[in-house]
Amino acid sequence: MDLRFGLSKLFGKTIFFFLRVLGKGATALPGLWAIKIDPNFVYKSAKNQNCIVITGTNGKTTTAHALAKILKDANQTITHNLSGSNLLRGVATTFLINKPTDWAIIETDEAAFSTIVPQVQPKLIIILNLFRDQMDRYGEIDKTAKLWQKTLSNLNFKSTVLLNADDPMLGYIGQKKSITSQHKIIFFGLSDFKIGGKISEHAADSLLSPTNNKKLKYKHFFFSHLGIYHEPESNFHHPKLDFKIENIKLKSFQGSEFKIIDTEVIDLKTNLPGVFNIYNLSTAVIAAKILNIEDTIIKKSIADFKPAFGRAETIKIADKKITFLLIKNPVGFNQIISLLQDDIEHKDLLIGINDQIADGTDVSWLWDADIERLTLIADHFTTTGTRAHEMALRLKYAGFRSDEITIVNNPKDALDNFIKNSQKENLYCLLTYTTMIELRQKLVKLKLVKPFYE
Amino acid sequence: MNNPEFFDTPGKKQLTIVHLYPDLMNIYGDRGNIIALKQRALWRNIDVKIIPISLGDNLETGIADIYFLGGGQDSSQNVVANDLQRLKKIIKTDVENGTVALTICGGYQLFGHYYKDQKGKKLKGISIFDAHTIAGKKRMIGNIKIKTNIIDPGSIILGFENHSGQTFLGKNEKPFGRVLKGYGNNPRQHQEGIIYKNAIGTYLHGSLLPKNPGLTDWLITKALQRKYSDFELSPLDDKLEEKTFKEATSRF
Repeated sequence: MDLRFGLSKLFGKTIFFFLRVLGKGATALPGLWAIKIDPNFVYKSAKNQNCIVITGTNGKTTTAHALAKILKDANQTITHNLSGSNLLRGVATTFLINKPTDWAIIETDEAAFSTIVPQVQPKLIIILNLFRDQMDRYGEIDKTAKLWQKTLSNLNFKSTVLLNADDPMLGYIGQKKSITSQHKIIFFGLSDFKIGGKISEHAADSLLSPTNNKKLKYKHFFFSHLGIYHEPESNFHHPKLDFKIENIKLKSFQGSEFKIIDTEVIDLKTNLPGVFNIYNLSTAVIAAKILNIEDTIIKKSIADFKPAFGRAETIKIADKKITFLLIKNPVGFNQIISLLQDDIEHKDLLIGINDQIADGTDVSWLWDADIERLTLIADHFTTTGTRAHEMALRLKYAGFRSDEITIVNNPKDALDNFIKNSQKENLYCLLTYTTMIELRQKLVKLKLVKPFYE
Repeated sequence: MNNPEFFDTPGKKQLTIVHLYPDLMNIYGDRGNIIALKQRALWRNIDVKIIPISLGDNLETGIADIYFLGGGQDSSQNVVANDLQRLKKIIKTDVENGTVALTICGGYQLFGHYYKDQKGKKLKGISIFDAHTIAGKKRMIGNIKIKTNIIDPGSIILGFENHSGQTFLGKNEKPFGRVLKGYGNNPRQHQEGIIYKNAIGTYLHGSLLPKNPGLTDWLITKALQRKYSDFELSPLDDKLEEKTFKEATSRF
């Protein structure tokens, strides 16, 4: 019996129990203490589990939830780390409070990837994308890419690595000798050129080739820096796809239809909106196929999959339908704007910007997002959060008049105000992580939604 | 981007911004500075032309009223440093003649003599500023507040800094401001940025110009006074800018 491990479990569980009695989310603290007592806590807990690790800047939570649902629908037992707590301590808490299951699905923060992967020794590693995000925490994306590459090259076990080929950094990682010689690489990507175009958006940020720092040439952009790229001098190409995503039909907030093709075709339907969700759900589907789940189960599971916490979740309040959309970086913000544009109805928006650590303390990303595109579809804005004025200023410089913007600092009051004053039936709230949590608490009190940690 | 038709409006004043490497040097919302310059000029009925200059593009002296160069990732910065040598003489001539320039973070470093990385390798700049930068171990990150006498005596400027490079000015050079909160050029001297003639180098992202409209107007005024001797900017309603500035002040 490992005394240290046993003690860390006991202590962590006790903290968890007390926090829950107090009605707290308790996603980080118990794990933090378990690791303090036994630094190898996560490694020891994961030893008898099949683990899947998911990382990437955008889409982790949706992908992890979709994969969890497919596996559950296939009668597998799963553990999944608690909403939004994707640092090592969050993973520790997850192991602390769950019995061993068939699969543990672990979302990790981009930076925590290199500490979590060697400890949990995953059978399957999924990397979605690498965008600019909260650079006050992670530094620059080149550094994150190098860290991922180093982590994958130095693992002392073989894993299957599922990569988004449309992201040049991941295309590069998956074609690198030190990684291909050790792991099984599977590439997926879009193959429908109705999506996107020949010109990049402003927030494209990985335009130099990772091979030689020459400018990457693009045949096509899907969005941001995701596309079909190549760099002739170093003979660097968008990799050959193992799974192609085709025949995409976008129906704005009504969801989408698409096909995934390898040796066979699987037709999929989802209620989740936007191209970014097609990437997320396709990743979950392909992961499930790699784990030998039957197509019929996958199809059904995706068709009735509901969005994760705050990811295009729709809630009815009085006679209004309110959609909650998480924003956390310029690429994500642009994707939400595209989605709002897909549907020609004019909209009133609530935008909540906090600058807590979980949101990123640097708000400069608001200036990188293509807010100007909202002028075509937005009538009125309510801005809220600790940086409500910064957001209002961004709108002013995008060309909106002061009478088109209402500033209400407190998010809860802002939501009341927004619901009361908008004449529109469909309302949209674009929120950073902690403003989302604040509003969520209000909705829990009104008994409209469940607490996020359930 | 190129809108020559704007220039046919008779009697209208014209502002030309040369945006250096917008595709490569554009992190931390530096694009917000271009948006602020453009909008605050347009709101005063001044025509604005923005010329993007990137790898291999031609440039001549006397075209720019304002040069802007933002920050980039290390990989971009290496490529840009190389290409910038081609334009060194042109930019130097213009700045010596009083052309306005705003350079931020990586851009500021490249306008100095060199950037020396952790391994001691030097990345050559274009020596507009008598300054050099040495990579430090500590990342200087967070909200920053400085005091400068350039706009009005004792003006306060706010931004967000995120750099590990430590910049040191030549002994005759004047810093852009004094650090009240944060780091600035380096952790020891409490100096922030540089001002040489009408060219500013600074570590302030944020975006810098939108919530510091006094600085934006100073840049526009300096740029247009060279072309139009009697030029004065008309006032704008800056209530929201002032409130945003206050909000940013409260986040320290």
